[in-house]
Amino acid sequence: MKAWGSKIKIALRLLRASTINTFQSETAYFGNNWGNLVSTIFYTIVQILFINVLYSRVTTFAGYDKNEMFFLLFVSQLGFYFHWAFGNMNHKLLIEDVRRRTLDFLLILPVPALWYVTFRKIPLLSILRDGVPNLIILGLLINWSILPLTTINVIFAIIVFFLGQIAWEGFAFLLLLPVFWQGDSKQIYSLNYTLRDSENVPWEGYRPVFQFGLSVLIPTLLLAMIPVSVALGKSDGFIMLGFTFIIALIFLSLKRRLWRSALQNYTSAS
Amino acid sequence: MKNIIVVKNLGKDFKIRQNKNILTGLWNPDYRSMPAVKEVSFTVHSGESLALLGPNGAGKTTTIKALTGLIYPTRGEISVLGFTPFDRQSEYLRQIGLLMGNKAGLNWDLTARQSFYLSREIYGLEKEACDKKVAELAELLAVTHVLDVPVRKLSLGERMKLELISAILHSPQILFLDEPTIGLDIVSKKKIRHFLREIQERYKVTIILTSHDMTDVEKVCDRVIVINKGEKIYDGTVEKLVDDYNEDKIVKFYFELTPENLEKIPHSEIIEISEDSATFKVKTEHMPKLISHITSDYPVLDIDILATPLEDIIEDLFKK
Repeated sequence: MKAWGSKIKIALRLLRASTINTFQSETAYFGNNWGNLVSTIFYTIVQILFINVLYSRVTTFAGYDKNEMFFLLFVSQLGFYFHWAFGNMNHKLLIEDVRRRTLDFLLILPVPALWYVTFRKIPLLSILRDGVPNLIILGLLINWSILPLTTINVIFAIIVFFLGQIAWEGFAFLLLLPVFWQGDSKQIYSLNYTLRDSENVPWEGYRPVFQFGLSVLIPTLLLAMIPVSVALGKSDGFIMLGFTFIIALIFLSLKRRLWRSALQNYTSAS
Repeated sequence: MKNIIVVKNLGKDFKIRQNKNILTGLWNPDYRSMPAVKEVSFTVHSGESLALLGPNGAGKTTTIKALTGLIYPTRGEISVLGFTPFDRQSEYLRQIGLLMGNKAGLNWDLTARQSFYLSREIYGLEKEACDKKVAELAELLAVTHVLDVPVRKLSLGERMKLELISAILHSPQILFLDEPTIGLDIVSKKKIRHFLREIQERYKVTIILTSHDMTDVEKVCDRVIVINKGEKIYDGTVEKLVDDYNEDKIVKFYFELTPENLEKIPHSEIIEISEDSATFKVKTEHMPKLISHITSDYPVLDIDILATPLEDIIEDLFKK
């Protein structure tokens, strides 16, 4: 127990140090990265317009009214930035590190390698710059007082949201691993962007076969659809928590197992 | 002395895919196994400085990477400081440092000092002790003035010196150096060689080095392992290597005016000739005859007997 406490302490200390280092790196090119903000705001506006067009003809879609749809978009965007900060950026770095054989410098460090490649860069500044304005826009569009949120459902939804993020991070990580065997995996990894697009339709809008496929095999619906459904009381929070917990555990263990296998295949280079 | 590295019958094969065709390659991949290291065994004791030499593709870097735990050996056993490197135990990784001359370990966008902060946290070093060590090492390598400059703005020489500081900041017991002076100018090379000797003596670091620059080997290492085609072909001191394999001597004669017909002198080869000197390459056993022949026949002002460059000795060794 004491050893675990010490490990967690070290992990948090490293997390803080690498986040400070990432912040320093981000400031080096800060002026060059405003394009991301334009791109994400444009995406959000298109999504808002789409919802407005959709609800000009119908009052509910898959049981969701317009306000709930905005809430879904809000959680979906929150998940996007969360994954971008804790997954996507580090995944892309890992692909490059394996391609350029600079992974050597990471593997030589006395830190758990898988933990370090997952969390080594957390781009706080970029998230603040690109994510917060979008989330504020969406937050202002939602009439929070009429959303049927209860404390217990929100707690369940938050846990499900984090478990969903863990599952998706594990899934996306599996997509990058072919770089260890093939020498590149950027194209395969880009599938994780495409597959995320299916997260803009509510959980209840999918047929059971798609609900199964897009939550168990490709856990995209765990990112926002299921947490929102739980938060709004449309799905049983307890069951969904158990379900996402199992999925997250499966992807986490797959990630660990295949990482070990990938390292055995890592050729490095002279 | 205590052996801290024990390598027994180390072998590493790389699988190379043969069929690139997407359809057949996907369903029936055909791999060829290529041995990078066939069978290498050696031991290294604490405080030793060892050079792994060999032509490109000989297997020296693969050996270093197996020792550092970066690659998984196909066969054989490795023990470094009592650990199996590929287990990558934190206690083991804390005791080794790695510098690769052809790769950048420091963050390109940060200053070296900012990168050292991360190293300090990773290795759990005390701030004061770490700052003191950075200052001390930076002064030794004459890079104090660039500690706060972004790495991308530094020259290769400055960057390599800072990479070296980064590799030894945590006081490793073993320092692995893969081509540490590659691409550097003569001044930087000299500085780094001197520094390596200095830290080896001061901190009792064991150095394992690969280099194509024989001056690195002569100046930094006491012992040499020559690897060719994945197999060890020599293991001994640099002096013994020169003694055992130096079959030729270089003899330079100085004259008022270099005489003609020197080419006709038997058992020797002229490798350089100028107005006032002639340089011969001769088998060691024929050297007295050559000297006697020239000094008796021509007015010689001076004679230099030069050692064969280590490069030539190693090259001969590879040919054999």
